[in-house]
Amino acid sequence: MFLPFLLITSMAWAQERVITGKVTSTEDGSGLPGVNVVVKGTTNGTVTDADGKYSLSVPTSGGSLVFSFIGLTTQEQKIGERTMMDISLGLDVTQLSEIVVTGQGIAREKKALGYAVAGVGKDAIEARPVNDIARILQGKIAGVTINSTGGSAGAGSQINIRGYSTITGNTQPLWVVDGVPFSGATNDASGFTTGGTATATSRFLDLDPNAIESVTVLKGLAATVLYGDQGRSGVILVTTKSGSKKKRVPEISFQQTVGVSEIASLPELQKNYGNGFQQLTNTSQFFSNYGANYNEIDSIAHPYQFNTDLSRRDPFLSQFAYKRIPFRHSLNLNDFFRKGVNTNTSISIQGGTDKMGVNANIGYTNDQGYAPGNVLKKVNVSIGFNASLSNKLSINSSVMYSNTDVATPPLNGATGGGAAFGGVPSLYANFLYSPGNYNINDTNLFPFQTPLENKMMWYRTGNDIPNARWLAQNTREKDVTDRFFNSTSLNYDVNDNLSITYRVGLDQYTQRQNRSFSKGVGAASFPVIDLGVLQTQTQTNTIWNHDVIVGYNKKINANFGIQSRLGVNARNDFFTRDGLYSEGQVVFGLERHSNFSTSASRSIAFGGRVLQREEKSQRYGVYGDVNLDYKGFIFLNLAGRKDYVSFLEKDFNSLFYPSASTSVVLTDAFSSIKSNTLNFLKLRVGYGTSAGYPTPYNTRTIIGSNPRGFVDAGGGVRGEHTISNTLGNPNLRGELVGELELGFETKLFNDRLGIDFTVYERNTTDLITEAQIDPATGYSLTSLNLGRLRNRGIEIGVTGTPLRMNNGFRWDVIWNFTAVRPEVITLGEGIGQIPISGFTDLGNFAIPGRPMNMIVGTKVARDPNGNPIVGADGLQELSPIIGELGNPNPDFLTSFINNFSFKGITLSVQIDYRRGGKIFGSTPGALLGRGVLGADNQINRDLAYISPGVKRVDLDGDGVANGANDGFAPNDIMLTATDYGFNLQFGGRNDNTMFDGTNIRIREASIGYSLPRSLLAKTPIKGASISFNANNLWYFAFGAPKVVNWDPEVQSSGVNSGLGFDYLTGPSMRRYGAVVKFTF
Amino acid sequence: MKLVKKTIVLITIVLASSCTLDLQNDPNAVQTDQVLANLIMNSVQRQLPVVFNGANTSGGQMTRLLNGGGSLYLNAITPQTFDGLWNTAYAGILQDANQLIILADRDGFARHAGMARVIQAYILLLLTDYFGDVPYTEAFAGAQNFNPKIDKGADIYDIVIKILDKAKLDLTTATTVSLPAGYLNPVAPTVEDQYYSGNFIRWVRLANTLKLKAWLNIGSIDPAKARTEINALIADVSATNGFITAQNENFAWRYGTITSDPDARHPRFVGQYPGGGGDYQSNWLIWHMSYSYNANQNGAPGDPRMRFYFNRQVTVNSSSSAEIRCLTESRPDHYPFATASAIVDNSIAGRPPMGIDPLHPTNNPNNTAWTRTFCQPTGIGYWGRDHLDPQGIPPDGLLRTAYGPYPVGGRFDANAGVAVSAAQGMRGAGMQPIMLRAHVQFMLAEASLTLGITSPTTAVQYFTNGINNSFTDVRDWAVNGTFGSSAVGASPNEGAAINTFYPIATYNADVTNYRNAAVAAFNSSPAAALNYNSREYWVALVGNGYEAYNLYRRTGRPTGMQPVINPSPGPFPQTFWYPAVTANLNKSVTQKPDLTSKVFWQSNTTNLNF
Repeated sequence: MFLPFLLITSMAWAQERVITGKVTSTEDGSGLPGVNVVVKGTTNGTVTDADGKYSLSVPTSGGSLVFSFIGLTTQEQKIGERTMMDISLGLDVTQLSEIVVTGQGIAREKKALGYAVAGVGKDAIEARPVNDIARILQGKIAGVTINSTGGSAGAGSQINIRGYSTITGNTQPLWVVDGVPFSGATNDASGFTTGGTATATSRFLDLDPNAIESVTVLKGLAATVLYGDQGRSGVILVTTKSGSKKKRVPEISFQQTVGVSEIASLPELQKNYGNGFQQLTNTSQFFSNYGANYNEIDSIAHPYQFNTDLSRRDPFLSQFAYKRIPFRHSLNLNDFFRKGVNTNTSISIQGGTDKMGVNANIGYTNDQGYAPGNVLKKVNVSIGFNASLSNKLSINSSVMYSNTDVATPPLNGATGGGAAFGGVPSLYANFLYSPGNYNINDTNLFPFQTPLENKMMWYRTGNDIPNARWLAQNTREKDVTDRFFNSTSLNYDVNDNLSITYRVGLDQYTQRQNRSFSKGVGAASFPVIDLGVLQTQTQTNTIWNHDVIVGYNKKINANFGIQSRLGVNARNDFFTRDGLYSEGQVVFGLERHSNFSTSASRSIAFGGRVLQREEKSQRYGVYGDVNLDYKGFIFLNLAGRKDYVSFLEKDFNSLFYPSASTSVVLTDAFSSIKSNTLNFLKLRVGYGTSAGYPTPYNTRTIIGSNPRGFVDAGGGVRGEHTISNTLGNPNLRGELVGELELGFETKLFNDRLGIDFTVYERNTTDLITEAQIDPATGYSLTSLNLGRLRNRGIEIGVTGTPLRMNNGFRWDVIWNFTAVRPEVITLGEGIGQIPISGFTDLGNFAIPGRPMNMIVGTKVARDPNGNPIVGADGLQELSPIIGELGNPNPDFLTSFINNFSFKGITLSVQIDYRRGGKIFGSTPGALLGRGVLGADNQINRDLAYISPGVKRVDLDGDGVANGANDGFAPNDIMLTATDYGFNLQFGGRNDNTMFDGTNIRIREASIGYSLPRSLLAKTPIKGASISFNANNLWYFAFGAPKVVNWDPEVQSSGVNSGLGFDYLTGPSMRRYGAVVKFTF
Repeated sequence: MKLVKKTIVLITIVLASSCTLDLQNDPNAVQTDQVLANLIMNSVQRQLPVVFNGANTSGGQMTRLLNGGGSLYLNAITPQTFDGLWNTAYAGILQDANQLIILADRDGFARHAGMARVIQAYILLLLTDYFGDVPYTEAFAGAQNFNPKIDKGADIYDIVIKILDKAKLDLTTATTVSLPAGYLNPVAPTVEDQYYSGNFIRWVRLANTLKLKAWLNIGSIDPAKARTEINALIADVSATNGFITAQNENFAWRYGTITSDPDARHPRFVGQYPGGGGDYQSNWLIWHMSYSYNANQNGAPGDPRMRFYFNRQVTVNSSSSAEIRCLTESRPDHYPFATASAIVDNSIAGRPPMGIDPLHPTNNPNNTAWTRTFCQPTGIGYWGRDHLDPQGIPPDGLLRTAYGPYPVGGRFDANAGVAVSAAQGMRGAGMQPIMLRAHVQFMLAEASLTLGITSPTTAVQYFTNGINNSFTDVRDWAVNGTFGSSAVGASPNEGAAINTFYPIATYNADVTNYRNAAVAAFNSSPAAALNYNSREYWVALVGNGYEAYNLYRRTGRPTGMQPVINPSPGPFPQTFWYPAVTANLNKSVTQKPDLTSKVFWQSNTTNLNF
């Protein structure tokens, strides 16, 4: 009974006619998905599917269809009697109304902006062999500088946008995902000197690049003012596929990456001289290769029989006593590192109706680093939907869950002595101290641990350089983060002009970090770690963010339009950390606190940090902006924000900062100048301000407390209180940042060439500086408002199409150029210099009148003419006063991205070049100093050498050669090859460890092929493509001898501040692999 | 619309209820009003040896009690060297002591105040002696003055004397509940005194000794005043007065044995014993002790204290230049040989004679070991470095001569000749000899010789007492590890090893021989007496480079020290560089152009620039 009725009903519908068709691109004839197709004057409409096809019920007669798509010309066609209508849409050259996301998620026409905004689409982000959004963005955006903290999988990244807004505070940009703040923090397990920073992960690692729709970078303060103080170092706006409001056709896509990771390069070793010193090779074990020539000695005694620790020596006596081993070069560095396999599986499902869209992304990444034991595993799940609940009310929400699991052996910094500083071993640094004639990879000849007790065993008789194989097997740093993220916004359109939006964000992650060292690494350099230590800490960070925004838009008359907003923002941050530290492992290898003899609440072996901590902070802000446009070619934007924050005392806890910007589209204002040559020209000028606040708890002095200050010989425990050396400053104010930017955008030669040029000056006054003060004040550190910092820079982004041929061949280029000159103008209070990062006698300093982050350290003493002074021992003397060693800021960074496409084949190459920027290079320094390097840098050991410089001469005849009346003569004091090679790089002669950071690299290269649709027509597969790609394929550093194969792109002092230090944390990784992608 | 209204109401409630902004108190920390007097006292007491240990390094390196690197005096000690010392002294000890005194004066914790003042005085003397003019009157003002001016060293000495007098009142005042200032509250917390376990008379004696030390320095420029003051100190024989004279009055910080949380062992033990390496001993000191007065130690040549000061890891000399670089280097021209019969003076014109040891040669001109030391001071495995030898470090960490039980808590040298390890000897339960009774006796002997003080004790008696005290305390320390003090429980000690290898009777016989020779030398001529006193004081000052540096600048003695291995080392530091943290950060402090500026009390003109 029922069924026939239904049939009749549907037949009744079917009597209304259905029109079908396909929308294609005039550019290449391909189907355009997502095009809106609407019956004019009605809400009846649809969107095209992945092939550009549509099907729509239309009234039986008459009517028109309107086809529209952002960036393309809107077309209107009368239906007439047709049942099929194919149409092609071209680029909307006249309008060029590129829509970009701006502050607080408001989409605006790009031409209306009075400031620079740069965007990167998903094509430049997804399907990469590296699954870290920061690494992918390297070089892709003018004005954004990204350095990695090390070469391991999962290592953190330092991101700088337009230089530095502050000296000792946070300089990292704000991450905003789907409209709400997303923590990009890098939580190290311990400080820089105890090795916690090189392997700490940056929390934007939790993002799945394959789930990202687009990234927009707001660089200047005129653009970021609505984000308040958090936006002062730039804002990276990430729109995920889940958070995108785009209407979508039902589609499933599947993407699989398989690749290989390997160490990008290793030094070339010399093969003539073995372990030793002064051409001597005997039973003393050196870490240098200044020993005998391999031709001179046939064999040497096995070093294990001389180990001074009998518990290490004796188990091997039967094997190695009186044993001699060949004296020849046997070490192949490559054998130690592995080729890691990395895979990524990514599935994306999307669909929807005209009222609602849903998107889900699932990703799994398994990424093995080159260092044994280094692996990154990541699970990402995200679901988003957008729905119109009524004509006026809509909701948009995205939910993400991620689990990021990084494991690595310790890769912290080290300098000269083989043992890392801070008393924490480091796999890469220790590995590089393997002499050429002891093959660390030959575990039969050189077992890396003792039988039974598993104590570390290596060639040094005092066990002060750990065997890297032992470290790879018996030490681990683990970092597992579970993260939940939600952004939900409700939008209510009160009427055509007025809308209200409420947006709430919750970003919460729990990060569990374990550091474990099994017992027996060797007490010589690591007296505590040798006991076996385990540190576990769990930190939870929660950000609640609320925004209520009232928007009012009105076209006042034909010429004037107004868009305005008024918003209220509340942000609460809550951070807690708990942890336990244990030492004294009982059963070897069992990394459980219950297997250790003592536990503590402080991280004793790693700098003594108190593990339990909580931090709470609150920010409230009121912000608004008004945009006026006149005839669509003159635009004015006024904005401002007032903040109230919990970081400061009541009298100083609020700041107001405004911004103003304007843009003029000259090609629209004076249409006469518009031509096929000059398609578009816009001038813009913007002035923006922002504020900076200190970290919590800097306004009040506290009492330092240690309940175990001392334990006397009788076991008595003495607690201690001490007035904290950090002076709380109740008068601390927010720092003010102001920035003026000027720029132009133009399109030339029928859009074949586009230029986006920006020049800016940014000034920070009232700098909040964690300033060292003379301890005679009773305190050694305080937070002060002092000084001024200035950044001047140029950013150029050029896009072009040098070739576009009729047969479909196309060559597109993107050229980005970034140059920043950060300079400390004054520090105030007469303070001469402030250490920013590193050590007080070797680190980055702020010095008035000098570039930010100057590298300062112990210098070679020089005569009045600047020649190094050589002492009576033939070695360069050191100056007792530390001084400037170099400016680590690069002169400029540039990248050149080429994309070639032809009939489904694409070829793309990104080349990055950095010029200048000095680096304190411990890697080249240690290699050169140890005499291990290959042919073209080999020091001939048979010659005598003379240190460059002058020696002191006694001119006044008083028998002393350094009085006021004495002088200098060219140095002629002869040194042995060892003294010369070893001492020139070691011994604190930091001048000789400075290298120029200029380098060129092939950042990305890929070749891909998309199967033509025609081939897939009869399958359920809508699209299929395969590509081969590579990351960090090749690099060359000009500043160090070629045999070093040095990678200057490391940032060993961590992400928060500091620049230009390479502490043997390991070179970068090279990756290559294949990606296949299917769309159903 | 209803939904919207409800939502807005809800949001408003959430925002309003969480909007406090009152989050400036650090929930992770003890607040200033929760501070406990006893715990600040503990902090002040424990930080004192931190400063002292730093001062010992530099002072010891300058006076050849320890080896230091650097080749030039200018470089041997840099401004950065003292950053930690300055920070601990000012922002640590002095700041905490100030706060404790305020708290103690307010609450009537007079004993706390007294101890804090004595330590305050000690630190101020040390800062003045090392750096010359230093900030005090404008210091500790926090944000009120980031650039405190420096005060004249003489003014600081005046202040120190007043502080010590006030401290003595605090330490002796009787319990009362009525006096508003300086009173002793009967319910004051019992101090956890790590030095004297709350025996406040010993603290008074320390205060008097510090006054003696200060007046002795001032005696260089104002002998009359110094004589009067020291005479007054000696004349006061009341029960609550006097100097440090008993073993349990030795002012020494005792370390513990635990290795972690915190590492409570002597820092120099920690730097050496667990893995080898650490400080190089001074070849000059080893050589000096090996051949002094023909002394014997348990049948072998040398000062009987050598086995307590040094612990050889090998007992035969190395012949490998991979282990000792200087074996392949030629003896510098300014390190002349002495022949059996004639000591060659330093060949460099205008320099004091290095070759003439005031103590040895006439006693034994035929001793063939009697050459000026270079590279290896003896033939029995002692192995340190020559003065300011800047060589890189070969793999000798488990070969070079290590510290013994005195004062760092290492191992007694019973000719074992084995590599060091953390479990040996006193396991790091060493001490810092901040002010010992032996030091007092040598100071009094010097005061007798240079100031002509009035005392029932003669100079040679003081000298003899000093030697006796030193020998007794060095051995007793290693045997007992307590200095007879009950401040803390017993430490691991080397008593068994020592009593077996070097019985007390043998030791006493060796000491008697030594003392007789030393006293004979002291008495040999009035002119030589000060040099012999200084020489004995210097050897007794091992572990206390601070007083040695004062002694050397005050008297220019002992003479004939080993020159720097670099023939042109530049001027000897008369005071040290201002630390980088004050010179760079304090507008009122200007770094010294060189190291020639003298501390205010120094009048001695002996040329020390070699």
